[in-house]
Amino acid sequence: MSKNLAMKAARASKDMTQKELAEAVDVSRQTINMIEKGEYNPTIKLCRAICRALDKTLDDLFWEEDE
Amino acid sequence: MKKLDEMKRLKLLKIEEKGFYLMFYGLVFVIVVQAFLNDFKDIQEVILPMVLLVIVFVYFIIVCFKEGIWSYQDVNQKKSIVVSILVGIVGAFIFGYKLYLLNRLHVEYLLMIFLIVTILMYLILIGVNRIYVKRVERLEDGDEE
Repeated sequence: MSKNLAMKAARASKDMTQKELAEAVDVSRQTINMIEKGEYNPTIKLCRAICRALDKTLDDLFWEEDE
Repeated sequence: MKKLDEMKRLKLLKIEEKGFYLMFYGLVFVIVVQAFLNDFKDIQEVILPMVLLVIVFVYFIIVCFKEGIWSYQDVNQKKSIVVSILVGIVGAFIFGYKLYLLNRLHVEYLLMIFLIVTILMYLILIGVNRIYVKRVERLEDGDEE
């Protein structure tokens, strides 16, 4: 899995730390870190929560280009 | 035949999880029953399964702690007290049975065993909870990269 740079950029644009985003979506900071590093695939429920917290759509943050 | 898709992988994980707990607690039950049936005389008969249990338990604890995991639910003092009392009761029952076999069963001994096991268990749980909380704090405050 590749890194989720879109999510990291969206978080940075909102001036949020991983911890703040984690608290906003009720998960641990480790989970947010692993999602951004591409080491964990979140459930659709968590994806939606992250999108809401970052004011982005699912496509903005979790779309993957076909290889 | 296709390899497992993500839904089936999750189902298999749940099956393995239930299987693990069945095996673990089943082994604990078998060891206790065997010990009772032998009147706690031949410890050699249960020593190997006990060693295996301890190894699995230690592995579980170490790896869970490394990942900042301890329990599905919140860790709190009330739960620690309840668990300690339950373990105290089990401990008093097991030792009480041994005392009964030796014709030395007195209520005072039972009470003493209950108190000692309960307090010991409570101290262990408090210690473990503290280590867990510190580990989680370290993971949560760690580097973002």
